[in-house]
Amino acid sequence: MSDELERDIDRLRKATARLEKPAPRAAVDEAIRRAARRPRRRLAPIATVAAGLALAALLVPQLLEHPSFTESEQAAREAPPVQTVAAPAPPRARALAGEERAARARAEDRLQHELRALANAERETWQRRLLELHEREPALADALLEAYRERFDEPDGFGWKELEQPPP
Amino acid sequence: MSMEQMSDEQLAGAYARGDADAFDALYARYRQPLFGWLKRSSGRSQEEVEEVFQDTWLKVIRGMERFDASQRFAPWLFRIARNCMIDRWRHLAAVNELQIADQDAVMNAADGDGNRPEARLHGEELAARWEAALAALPALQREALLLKLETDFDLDTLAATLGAPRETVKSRLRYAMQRLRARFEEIFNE
Repeated sequence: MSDELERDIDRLRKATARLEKPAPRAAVDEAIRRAARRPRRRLAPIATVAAGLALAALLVPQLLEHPSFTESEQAAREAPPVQTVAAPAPPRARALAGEERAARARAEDRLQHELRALANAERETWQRRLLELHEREPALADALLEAYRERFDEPDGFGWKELEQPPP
Repeated sequence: MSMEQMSDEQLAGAYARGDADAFDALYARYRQPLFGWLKRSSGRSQEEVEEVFQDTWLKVIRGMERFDASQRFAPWLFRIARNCMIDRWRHLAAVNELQIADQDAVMNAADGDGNRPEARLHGEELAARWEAALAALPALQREALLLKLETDFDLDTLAATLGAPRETVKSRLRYAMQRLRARFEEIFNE
């Protein structure tokens, strides 16, 4: 980079250094720090992977020789080719497919929105929120729990199982 | 060695080995520069930027075990953030298009009294003019300039982070500075 450009950027940096700097809110900081402290799923130890590969190397040739495999391979060779090009859908069907895609996209947006709200909420708040949601929209609440477990790698570490018990 | 003395890469390695305090130290280092860059380069609302910011750190947390300690941490972090931003808002060009409608108003505000050469740069006036000048920059120039201001990466690192050739990034910086030079004569003519 030229010296002049560097010098100008440096002047700009100094001139704007005293301006207020955008920052995330405390709840976001807290949610991120909390996520960082959750136990993470460990990769399988190398010895386990190596044992799995060795077993596969032993079994695969035997499976390939097995009569059921060779028969199905022969049948597949003799079968007529599968038609893979679908006929163009009529306009009404295309419109329906478009609506379905839009509905799926809306549902996904809604799920992501709820997921973020859940991630930012305090424990008591999200438990209450999830229970309320479960009464109104059980399918969404189930999907939300599933997405939460997957996203935060939390099979049961933060107490969601309590929610699966019937209320007292 | 205390956490303050450890490099980013050493902290990342310590976190990958299970030291949660190392993450806090890394987060404290990059919380504001990353958020500032996302906020100002996207021009989006606080809530929207917080979502991208949070997604970025969750990806970092998940990816830390795969982080290659021979690479630098900061460009990796900003690359993840940029990908999250693009995923979220599809493409910076689209962000720019969305802002075009507001640009005339922004430019008019910036070219008012506050832009006279004799006007001094103080407090709120500077903040307003700075925001307006940034909003008027094309998205790719804005993102490159802000990344340089927040991180002071060298050109090669900027290029790797932004996924663009070195000379292209240099041109973006130069064009951005040309535009800003015209708006902030008092800074550059001192």
